[in-house]
Amino acid sequence: MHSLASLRKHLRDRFPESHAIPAPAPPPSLTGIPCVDRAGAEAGTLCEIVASGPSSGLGLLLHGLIESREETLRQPVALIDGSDSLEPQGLSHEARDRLLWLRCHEVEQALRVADLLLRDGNLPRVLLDVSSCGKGRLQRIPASSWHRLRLLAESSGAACLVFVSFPLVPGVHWRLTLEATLPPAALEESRESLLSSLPGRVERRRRMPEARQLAG
Amino acid sequence: MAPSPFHAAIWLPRFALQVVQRAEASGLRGPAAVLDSAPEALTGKGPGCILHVNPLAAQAGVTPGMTPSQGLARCSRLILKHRLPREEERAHQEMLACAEAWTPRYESTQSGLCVLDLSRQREARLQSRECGQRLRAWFSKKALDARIGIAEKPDLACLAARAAEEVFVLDGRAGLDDTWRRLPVQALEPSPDLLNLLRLWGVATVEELAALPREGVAARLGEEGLRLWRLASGQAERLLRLVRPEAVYRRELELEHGLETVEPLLFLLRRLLESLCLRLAEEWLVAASQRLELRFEDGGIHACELRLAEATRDTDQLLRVCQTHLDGLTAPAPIVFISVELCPSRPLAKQEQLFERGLRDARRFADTLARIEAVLGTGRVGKPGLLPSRRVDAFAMADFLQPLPKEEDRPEVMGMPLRRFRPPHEVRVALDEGRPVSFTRQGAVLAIFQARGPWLLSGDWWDRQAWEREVWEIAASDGGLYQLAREGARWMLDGIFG
Repeated sequence: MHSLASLRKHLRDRFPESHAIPAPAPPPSLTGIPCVDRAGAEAGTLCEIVASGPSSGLGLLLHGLIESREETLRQPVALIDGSDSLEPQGLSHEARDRLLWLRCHEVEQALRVADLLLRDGNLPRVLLDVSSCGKGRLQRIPASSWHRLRLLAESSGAACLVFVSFPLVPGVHWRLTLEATLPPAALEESRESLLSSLPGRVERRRRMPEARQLAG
Repeated sequence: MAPSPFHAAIWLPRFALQVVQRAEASGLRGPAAVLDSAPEALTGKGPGCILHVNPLAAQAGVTPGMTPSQGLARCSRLILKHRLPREEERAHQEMLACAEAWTPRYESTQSGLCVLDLSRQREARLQSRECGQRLRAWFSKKALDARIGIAEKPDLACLAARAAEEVFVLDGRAGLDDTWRRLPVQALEPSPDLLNLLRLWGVATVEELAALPREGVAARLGEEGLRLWRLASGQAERLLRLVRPEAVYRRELELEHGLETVEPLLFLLRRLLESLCLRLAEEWLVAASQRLELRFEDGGIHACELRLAEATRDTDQLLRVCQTHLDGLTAPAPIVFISVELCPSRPLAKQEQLFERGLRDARRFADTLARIEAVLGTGRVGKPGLLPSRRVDAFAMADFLQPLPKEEDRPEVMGMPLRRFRPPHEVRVALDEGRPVSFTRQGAVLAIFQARGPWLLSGDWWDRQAWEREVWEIAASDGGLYQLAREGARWMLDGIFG
């Protein structure tokens, strides 16, 4: 009995990570945007937001996530703008002050920049917008690139949201699809009310990797 | 216990004239005077008055303050020279260098005058006259005539220097010297009005001024009179306005053989940075930014200011920033000159605020930003600061590590945000009674169901860059809500709302 206890102790000292008590996963951050909060924006995950139509509120969601009035999200945020399409006039001074805007020329640049940022691990939220990039070029991105980004997000603890115009990224934590096309009347409504009523469907949820749960 | 005060003043009489004499290859032989103007000032102003005269000119009756024609009227052989500001600056710097060699505590309140605090120089106190002679000899080698005054108090030392033939030591314990007491009251540099008043009173020497009652002087001559009285009676005390030379943390290296690869360059950079960081550490300073300059064999120069996320004096951090910058640099020719300069600052001593959530590793982040900028190009990384204009894309990219400057309050933006097409897509638009009804984009015709507008925008009408736009918000048959704009005869899609 004594020897078993000492063996356990020896193993625990030798492999502390394997014997660590798994910490509960951090609760998802509240963004104040109902459709995103339903999916749960968790740290260390790669998620995908798909806009099926041309004016289905993807830009609205992007602006909402950058503005993020919620206290828990008032942190620096990076926007990797794959097609340099952000209109900064629509953002408040506070939001622009914490926004790192990375204006890319092409998809390959955007992926390289995402890789560098996630590897760096300083920013808790990385928004990768490639929704306006050509479909052909997006489809040519190998699955291994997305896999690498996912692993980097998991290791750095950053929440990485990919904005696309069609389901593209394999193995995402969840995929939110914006299906409805907003009517012209939406041009006159306040953004707050538009965001609160923005319809979205969470398509798939992927379990957290085992290794991450053990490591805590 | 602090040592009792002991000061030496170096005075270069007729400073501007001495500088001109030194600069003249053959010297000034004969009566000469220096005008209170530089040659380049001649175009705008007159030639100025006579500032200094040499003894020969003084014998001929030429005095400072005369106009050149008055001087020439008294002495036709008078040589008139302009001041040489650059040479004066050089001579003044030489004087400061001499003072620096004696003590770090010295002041220089005017050109040609310097007061040294020699309180801690035991040798100077014991052999004050010899020290004065050594100071004079140093200036003689530089072809300058210096008068040295030594006294307990700085103002007394200045006066002693003005009274000196060569070296004048005022020993406070033995009482004030007779020579000093017989000094004309002008040596105290009173204002012209006060000098006239003192003349009217019959006060001609320092001794006579010191003999006046203090209260009476204060009541009749005011603050300036009291200051002069204190000086005359040897009671004036003050602290020196010390000269603090600005420290420059720069190292330069000229290479006999040009460098063609980055490894030896980094090796040399590390050496330079290490020595600079040691100097910073001695002063308890850190580097806020660094400036790198490379010169190439073909005469080209590459200079850049490298930002640091956090001020540091860690050589590895500084070198990593350099390396990241050099990774994106293509040298046109071998490097023959390297210069590194660190901009010093005080280390941050305050604690971050409790609810302030910064970056986990700011230094690493700055390095990452530099890498990203190398990928995307300059002006494509940062935070957008808005410009005061309604022109399209009126924003400027600002450094992400610095806060954005305050801007005017803007009204809350309504509706869906615009996702811009950069550059805008040119389209052909069909109009019906001046309103767009359809547009052709990439060969496809899209009907316009609803069009709001037009909004007429214009700006910079006072400038060549004047602009004018007609903006429409349209709902197209593909379900998209677009912003359509007309500039002159051209129609373009600015972007899509969504």
